[in-house]
Amino acid sequence: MNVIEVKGVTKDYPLGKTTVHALRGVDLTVEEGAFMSIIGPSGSGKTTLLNIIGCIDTPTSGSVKVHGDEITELEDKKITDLRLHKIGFIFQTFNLIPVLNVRENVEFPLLLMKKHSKGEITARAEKLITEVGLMEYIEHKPAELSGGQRQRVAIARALVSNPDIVLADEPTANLDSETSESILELMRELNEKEKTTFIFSTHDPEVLKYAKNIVKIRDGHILGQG
Amino acid sequence: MGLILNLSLRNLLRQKRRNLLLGIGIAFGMMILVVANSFSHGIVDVLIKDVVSYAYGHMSIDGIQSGSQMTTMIRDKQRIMDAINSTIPKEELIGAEEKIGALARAIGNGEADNVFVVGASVRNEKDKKDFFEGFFTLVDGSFEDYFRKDIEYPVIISSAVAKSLNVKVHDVIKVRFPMVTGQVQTAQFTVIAVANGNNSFMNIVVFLDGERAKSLLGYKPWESASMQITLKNPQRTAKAYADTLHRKLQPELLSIVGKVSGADCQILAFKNEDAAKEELNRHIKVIAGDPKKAFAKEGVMVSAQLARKLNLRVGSEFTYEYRTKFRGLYQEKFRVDAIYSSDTKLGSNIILMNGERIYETYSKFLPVDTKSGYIGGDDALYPVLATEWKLLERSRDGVALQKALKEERKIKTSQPKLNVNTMYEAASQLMQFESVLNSITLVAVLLLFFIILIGVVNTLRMTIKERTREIGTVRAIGMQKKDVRNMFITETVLLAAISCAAGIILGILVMQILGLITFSSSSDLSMILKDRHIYFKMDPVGILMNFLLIIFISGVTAYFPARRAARLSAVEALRHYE
Repeated sequence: MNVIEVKGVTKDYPLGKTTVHALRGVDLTVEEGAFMSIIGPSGSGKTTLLNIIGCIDTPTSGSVKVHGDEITELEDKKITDLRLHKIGFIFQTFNLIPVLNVRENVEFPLLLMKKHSKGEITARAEKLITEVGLMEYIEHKPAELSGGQRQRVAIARALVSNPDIVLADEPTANLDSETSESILELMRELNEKEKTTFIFSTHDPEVLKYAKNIVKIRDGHILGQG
Repeated sequence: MGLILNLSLRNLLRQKRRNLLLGIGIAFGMMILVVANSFSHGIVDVLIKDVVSYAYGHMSIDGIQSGSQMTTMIRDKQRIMDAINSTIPKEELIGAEEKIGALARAIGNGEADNVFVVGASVRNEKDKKDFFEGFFTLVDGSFEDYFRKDIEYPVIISSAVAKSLNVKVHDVIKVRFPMVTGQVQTAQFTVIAVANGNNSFMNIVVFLDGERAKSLLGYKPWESASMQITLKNPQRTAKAYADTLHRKLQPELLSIVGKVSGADCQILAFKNEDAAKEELNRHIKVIAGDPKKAFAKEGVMVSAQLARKLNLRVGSEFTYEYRTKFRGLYQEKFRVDAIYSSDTKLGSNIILMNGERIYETYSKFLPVDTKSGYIGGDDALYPVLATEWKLLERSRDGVALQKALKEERKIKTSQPKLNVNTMYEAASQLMQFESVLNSITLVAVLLLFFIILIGVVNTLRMTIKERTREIGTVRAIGMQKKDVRNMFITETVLLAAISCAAGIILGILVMQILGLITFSSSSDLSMILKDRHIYFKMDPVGILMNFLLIIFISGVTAYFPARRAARLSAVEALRHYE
């Protein structure tokens, strides 16, 4: 079953007096449980594609369906709800909330949902923090953690709401190779365990060995999907 | 809401220095507001509750007697007391007292100064407690000596008077003051106690027993200067009671029922006004004598029937005799200026005279029998005839009262006047002082807060700029726009609320400290001091309203930058780099 269907998507950005064509008619389908890597050089359109799939950006034209919902037709409130319930994000620069500790950062999406009890939230967050191996840092603030630890917190936060899709934009770009490997291992492990669809972008060919599916992108065109 | 509150609170603490500086600014503004507000309330409280209510009572009925100078005089205090008692229910009335006082020149030991001699009656244990304990702090002497009969005029003076006259307990003060009769009286007062009052008004006052003060100033026992009424709920009831009393004190026609050579007669007086005289001239006919003289200030006219009966002619003298309320039988000689005939309700035994001829006699020798009932208010002659006193219109405020009194002074008449007022009118300028003081405070504080709020907006803009990526992150994760907006508003409101609360506490501390300072009773500030300290009176409702106003302004000020933050595109915000 396809969780994502992208058809003929284009994205143009104005840049001064010129227009940047970031995506030029992209078609992409992602099956449930995929562990997909989008690879391409810098400026190829990876992040733009992920942002559109993640419903934080809208295409200039084309159709994007997430779980059958045409997101280009949804209003902001519904798209925000869709992101909260169906999509998890892992950012290149971790993007943790600095005033919250590890537990609170992980609990954050569940608190936004306003449908779980305090006990459920704590249990779910602690389960994921244990899975990413950070229980001993649970009360630490992001500033007190290393880059790898922060990214683990970001992974736990992305997965805590039990989303259908986790989007990771160059999740290892700011990490050393050893930490990168452990993060990818963790993502792969969680993909298999939680059956969550993972889509991550990278420009590092080393990362590809972890991917089950690879999409190559260059100059806003999908070169191949396999 | 819990999440937003938690995040807002933590974000506040995150930018400690910036928020601390802004918070100090808001707290300082709030502190000034609290102190200034309490100060103005304190001043008004001291002035109104102590000085004004002491000087005017909550309500006052003043008798005004015109002569060579205006003096205060109520000729029949019992009549006024009856009106008071029938108007104000006992449960609403704290007391109705005679107010007797005069400005006097006092000479002590080689020093002289102006003092205000006030009669204060202390009749029982309750009075003793209220007066001695409630008003004074004894410095020297004994209050018990106030009642000694072997001392002619025992007085209590303040330290300020003692100092200015260079006297101490048992010393004698010579005083000179005008009596109600216009004569200048001198007396020797013996200082039996030096005691300081709880407000500056007491600093120039010399207290003397009420009855002795009355007699010294020339008042008879049944007379008084004015009646001072103290109410339980003055703010609520004073004006209404004053209006009712005003209605009850409408004067009757001036009428004296008496005898001339054993024949029953009645004196009625006409107003010494041209219009009144013209009107009267239309209803009566002068059949003998000079009409000009008859209507003049001293004019006396006898009805034709009475003239015939008593064999009176123009130029004849007759003795009018009547029973008075307080002085027994009274006789006065009059000369006939004219004889008149009338077809009106005026009886056959009427002696008509100009009010100016009879006002003084009437006031001093109040008649027992007045019986003027057969000329009613709807009678054409009624507006022409003089009344026993002139009741001044109720004044809106102090300015109107002063203006009315000034106008009255211009009219040369010996007709007594009666004025009913409350402290709210008599001291209205003082009352306005509070609102002026509050307005100035508010304007100053609003200006201060305007400046601070510019700080709030700038701080918020900087905060939003610094946290743009964070906004992008929370929006990407799934925080709704309104929650982002509320988060920033909450931050500002929390900062304002915490700062305001700190400002209130700081204000209370400042007031406590300032309240500890003792000022000299001769200080320029003495009018606004209470027990020689600055008196602050907190107005919790006012402070709460200001608190809420500031919170509201902070919220409104934060709304627009916060809305802009919430409307940021998530993807743009995530791309933002400082």
